Amino acid sequence: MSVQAVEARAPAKAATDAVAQPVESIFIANLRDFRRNRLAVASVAMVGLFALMAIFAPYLAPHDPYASDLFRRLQPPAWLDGGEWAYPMGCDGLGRDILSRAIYGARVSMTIGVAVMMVAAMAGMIAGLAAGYLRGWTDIAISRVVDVLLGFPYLILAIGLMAAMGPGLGNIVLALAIKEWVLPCRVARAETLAAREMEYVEAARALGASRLHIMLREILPNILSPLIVVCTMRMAWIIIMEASLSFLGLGVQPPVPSWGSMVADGRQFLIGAWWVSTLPGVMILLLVLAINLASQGLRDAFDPRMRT
Amino acid sequence: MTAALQEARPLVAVRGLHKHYDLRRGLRRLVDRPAQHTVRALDGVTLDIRRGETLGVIGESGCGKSTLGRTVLRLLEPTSGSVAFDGVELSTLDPAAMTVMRRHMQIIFQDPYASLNPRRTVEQIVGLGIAIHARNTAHETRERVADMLQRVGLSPAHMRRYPHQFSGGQRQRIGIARALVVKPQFVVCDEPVSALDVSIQAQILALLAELKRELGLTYLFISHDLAVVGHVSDRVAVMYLGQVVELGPARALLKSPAHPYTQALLAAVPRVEAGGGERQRLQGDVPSPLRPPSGCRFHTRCPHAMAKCSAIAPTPVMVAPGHAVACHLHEGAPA
Amino acid sequence: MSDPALLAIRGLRTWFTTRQGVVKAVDGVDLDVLPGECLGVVGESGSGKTATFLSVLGLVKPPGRIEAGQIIFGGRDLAQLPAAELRALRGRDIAITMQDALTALNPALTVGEQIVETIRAHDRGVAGPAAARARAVELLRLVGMPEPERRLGDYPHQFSGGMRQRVMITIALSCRPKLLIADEPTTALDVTIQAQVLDLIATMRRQLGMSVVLISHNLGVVAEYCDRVALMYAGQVVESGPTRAVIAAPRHPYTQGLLRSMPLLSDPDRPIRPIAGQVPDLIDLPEECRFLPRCPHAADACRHDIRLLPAGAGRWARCVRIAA
Repeated sequence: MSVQAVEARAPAKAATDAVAQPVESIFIANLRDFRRNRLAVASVAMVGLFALMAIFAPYLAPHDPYASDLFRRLQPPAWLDGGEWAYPMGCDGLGRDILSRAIYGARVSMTIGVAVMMVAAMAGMIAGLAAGYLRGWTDIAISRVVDVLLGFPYLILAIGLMAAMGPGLGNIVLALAIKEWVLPCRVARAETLAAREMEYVEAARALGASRLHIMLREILPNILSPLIVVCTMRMAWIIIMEASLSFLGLGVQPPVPSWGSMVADGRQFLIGAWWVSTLPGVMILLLVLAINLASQGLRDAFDPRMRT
Repeated sequence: MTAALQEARPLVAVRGLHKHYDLRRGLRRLVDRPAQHTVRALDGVTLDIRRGETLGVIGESGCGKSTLGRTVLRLLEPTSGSVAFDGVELSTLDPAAMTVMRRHMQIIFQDPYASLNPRRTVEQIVGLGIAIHARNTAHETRERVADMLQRVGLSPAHMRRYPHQFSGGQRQRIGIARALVVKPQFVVCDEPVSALDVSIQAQILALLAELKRELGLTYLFISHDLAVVGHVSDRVAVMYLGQVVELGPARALLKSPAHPYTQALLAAVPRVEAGGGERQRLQGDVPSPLRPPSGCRFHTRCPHAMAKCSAIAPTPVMVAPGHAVACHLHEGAPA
Repeated sequence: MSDPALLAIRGLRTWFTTRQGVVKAVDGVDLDVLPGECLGVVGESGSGKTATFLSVLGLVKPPGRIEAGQIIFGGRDLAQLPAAELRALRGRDIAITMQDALTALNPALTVGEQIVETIRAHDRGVAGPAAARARAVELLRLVGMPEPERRLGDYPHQFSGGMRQRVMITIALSCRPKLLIADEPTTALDVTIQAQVLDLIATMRRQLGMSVVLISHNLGVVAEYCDRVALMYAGQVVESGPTRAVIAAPRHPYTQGLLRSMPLLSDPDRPIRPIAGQVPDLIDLPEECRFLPRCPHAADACRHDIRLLPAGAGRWARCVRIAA
């Protein structure tokens, strides 16, 4: 019954020009829609809290995350027998404060999540734009590389790369980004293919606009929203991947605290001292959940198919 | 529309223009035979567009009229044939020279929504041509944009707004401003009023006529609406399956159409002023441009089809001064 | 409006509540459809012509709601009818064809399945699937579909635009409705195909003796195929009457302006005069003539609520100048 929808929308559209209204881009309107979604706003706030935690870790952590105290080995959380409020979440196998280490662990997760996403988004966006707009051999070459990368299982590829390159923050970013750019690239290419057929692109060509202008000024602003949505959604996945690599001992090396390696450390004590693995696990869960909810809110507000 | 005004050199000379699309992808190019997978959107179009005239192009969907407009502007590369603009053969121009040339030839689109970038302000949209073709300061650009907006009936205060804040008719005005701000000589109007309501349609037609008069423009006016084409055009070309089947002075062509297709097209238009009554109706659909009929392409639907129509493609003949038709019925007719 | 009408709409108001305010898409529409006639409903986008007839069928979707008015059909008020009874009525007594046949047909079912389904849903007289199928073939032949037996197994996308409209009409006619609402049946079609489809609707109307409401933005289409015409503007009927009479001597300034703004094929040199301005915003409309801001005859008398007034034989117009 699309007819009715059209009729219903038409007056609303007429409304916007009859009333003198402030200059407003679609982006601003999208943001306003996003702000209406309380769950999404709460999720963004949650992600923000994690970011603040990462940045201000030295001020927030009650103890030195590296200081081990063998007398406090596997000390339980404060509310259990043998616990004390100075170490609210208890201590790990080397007697280090779990809360402090979990707070510091946010640094690794957030840094890697943001770094991989930035690298992948930039690379994918440029490759996708070029493939989608230039077509021809550029498209064939980029699309083949994408197909091949998609064929590799993610974790196996990352494990192999980490094993070859050795540990280190930069190497983790590289090992994850090398496949991660594929997704933004595919989204950017598909959106570009749709946008390049629009008459406004043809109008720019008719005026003699350069290919660079058309790609960056005419098309890019129109594909940015779906790209942002996809990238935030993938950020949750990247954080899980980093945790997985660290869990396997291929990520950030000890003694630097990472949620993944903390979970791994606690594995051997799981029966007697469950708290060692639990808090970092909950941290991963909360951050990933918050990012996912936020990205869903973004999608609802920004997806062009939901808005005309 | 007198013969005395006819010049030696037309503004745009289109000669034997072909635009074919190969639908085979990748390896299928090696396997499939080309003939069955080629869409002949334009199949040998020859016509002149005279300085200062409006040449109307009518035809049904798929007849190639939009492809013609885009190929003439070299927004699409022709498969073969030539387009000369003011004596300059466009296919010989390198990209830089072509960019310079684009200032003189512009296009106005059908869809007032798809033709304006939703993420750019009116100032950016209309100012683009100035940014490309003139080395102006931001202040000068803004003044020219404001000037142009006023000319198309909008207010300079609209400059900072985005397209979604305008109605269909206003958007079409923005599209017109974008095309005309570079002071072109020649404008392709591709169904410029088809998406608009009747009362708004008349506003835009009046604006286009006024701008043509003031700026001395030449239009290639593409439309499926015969009444609109008849109203705006000096001459009309009728297209069917990638070919021009009839071309002549607008009044004469609409009053006494020579080609059976033109006759059927005119008979099919519902008219406010007509008294009803039985009229000749075309049967069937337009054949697929993938497999155009042999000989005269219209013979499958033509009420006057003869044996030779399916065998031999007719060549255009003059039925009156400046009125050409490609139909076997008129062969041997006095010019 | 005293004839025994097949469908009588009285004071219909269908409003859409949106974030910006209440959009009065249909705001006080009075319309009659007489038995066996073809009524043309003409209006520009946003005039409420489609919303009016979606209201008749009970197909208005939220946030749209029928706020007031009566829709009398067969002695019953459709505006008050329970949803189940309306559903039974749709397709059987009143059928609708949509503008966009490609999206209105289900792409996953063959055309045959969709026709048979409609027949069996409404017509208990048809015994089994075989009988329904035979009926479908017969109907497709009736609407001029070549090789109907073979094409029953085809999917909607395998048909051309004109043939898809024929399929829609077949489905609409499958239960011999008393009233067919054709919503812009030819807007997406080329002129030669448009003529075929409109001829078909006219023929079927004569053969089945049904009434047809032809919704269109094209006054020419209505002039050629409809006995009577109703012009809508901003959610109201502004003029109605016998088509010839209305076109020959329009009484409402909007109709007059519309006719003057159309280029005529028979007289290409006739100057066209646009109606100035734009369709008003349908939110928070003042209680006055809707055409006032664009009307060349605007006067102080126009600044209050104007009703449809009798304007000659079978004619009505919503303009104060009629009363004078």
